[in-house]
Amino acid sequence: MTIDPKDLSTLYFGAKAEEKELNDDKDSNAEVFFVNPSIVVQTATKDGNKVVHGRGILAVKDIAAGDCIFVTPPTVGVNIESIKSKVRESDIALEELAMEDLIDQMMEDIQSRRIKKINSFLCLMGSTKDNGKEVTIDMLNGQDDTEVWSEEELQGLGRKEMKDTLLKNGKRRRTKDFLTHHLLIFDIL
Amino acid sequence: MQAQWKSNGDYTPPNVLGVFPLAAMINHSCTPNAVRTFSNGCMVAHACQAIPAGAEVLWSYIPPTLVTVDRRRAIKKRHGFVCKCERCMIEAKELRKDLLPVNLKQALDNADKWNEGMLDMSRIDEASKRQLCAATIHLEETLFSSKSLSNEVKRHLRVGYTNLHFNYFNSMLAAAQQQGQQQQNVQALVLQSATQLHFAYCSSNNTSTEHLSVLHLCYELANASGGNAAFWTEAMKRAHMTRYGPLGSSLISVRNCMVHTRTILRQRDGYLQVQYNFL
Repeated sequence: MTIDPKDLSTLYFGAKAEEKELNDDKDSNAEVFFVNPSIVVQTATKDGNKVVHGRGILAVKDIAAGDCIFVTPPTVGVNIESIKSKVRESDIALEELAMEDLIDQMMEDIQSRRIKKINSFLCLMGSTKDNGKEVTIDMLNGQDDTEVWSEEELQGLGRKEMKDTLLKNGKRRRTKDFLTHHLLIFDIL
Repeated sequence: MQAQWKSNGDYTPPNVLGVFPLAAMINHSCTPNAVRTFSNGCMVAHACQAIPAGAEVLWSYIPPTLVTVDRRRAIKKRHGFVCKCERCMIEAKELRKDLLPVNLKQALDNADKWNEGMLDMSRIDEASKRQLCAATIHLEETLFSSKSLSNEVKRHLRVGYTNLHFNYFNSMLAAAQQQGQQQQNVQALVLQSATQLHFAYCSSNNTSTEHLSVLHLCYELANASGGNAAFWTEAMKRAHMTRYGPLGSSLISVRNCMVHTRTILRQRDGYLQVQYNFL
């Protein structure tokens, strides 16, 4: 669908979400989704063990102030209902409960071999041109079902690896610190 | 939110947390060219400055309203790296305390204690309010008027002292409401300072929520001084749409979008005049 980056009314005002048929494809993240075609993902480049430049997002064409860069739903979102009772019944911090819920969902996606979601998660683990795994925007957004990861690599993914992946930036990252980076808090009121 | 959830059986927030891998690719800068908000369960990112071809898309991981030392400390603690963005580098170079003249260093030290966060004016005694005002004026007369600092670093510094400015605005305007005939003079002083802050934000952290609330304040004060400036102009709309996209074109949706922001107008006992007019 072609979208004018200066007019995203249909995306914003929920018409798409209301009119869209229920999507049974749990491996899809295509509810409301726009990425400005003027951006690309830059993968990290290494010279030996030294990172020459890290990952990032670059503009390949001029982007004017006010232009939309992207509108994306989360690849995984916390299941509010599932943690609601846990919040009431335990003294565990909400951030920890939310983190565990996200990892539960990610593990379920991995075990069910939902390739699009797996590609999205594993892009967070880091890809460089050296390991041959190019990161693309479609992959990050859970839109690409190309099987670039081996069964052996997927076998090695457990809860610890998922949690480490999400927390990997910075040293001794506590869950709460992590939330300000990889996970971004929605409208919570 | 957790406490509310525990006590109110019917309460369910619309959303809590999610993983956004594309957003996670965006690196940090203290002078970002992109901003993010949330709408309808999605993350929405807009360019807040023009981004030329070949440039990296960058946004700020932390609020812009911190001075260099505090920004770097927050970034290091939360994200494990030392920020070396353009703003941090130029501020670190020009504001080295061991090289600053004594009067500038003293102005910074006086200002720092009022810049740590938003103050509850109902709990601040009159002597402290006078110290706050004196520190703000001292900063204005020394650093912001200094010929030895570049205009660029002065703009960044103003933004870094946003909390000081907001505390000053709240204190002055609350006092002005009680001063009758002196009210317009005080409002004019605040307007002058708020306008400078607005221009600083334009180049440093354009259309951050703090910037937008400063803009609102400027328009309100301009009218309070007897002007007849229209508030919801095309330019204002464009400024809000830069951050909020189409949601920024409607004042009603802007009010909803900004309801969570820690702005001057959200501060208890803060400036209330605009409460029923704009936000």
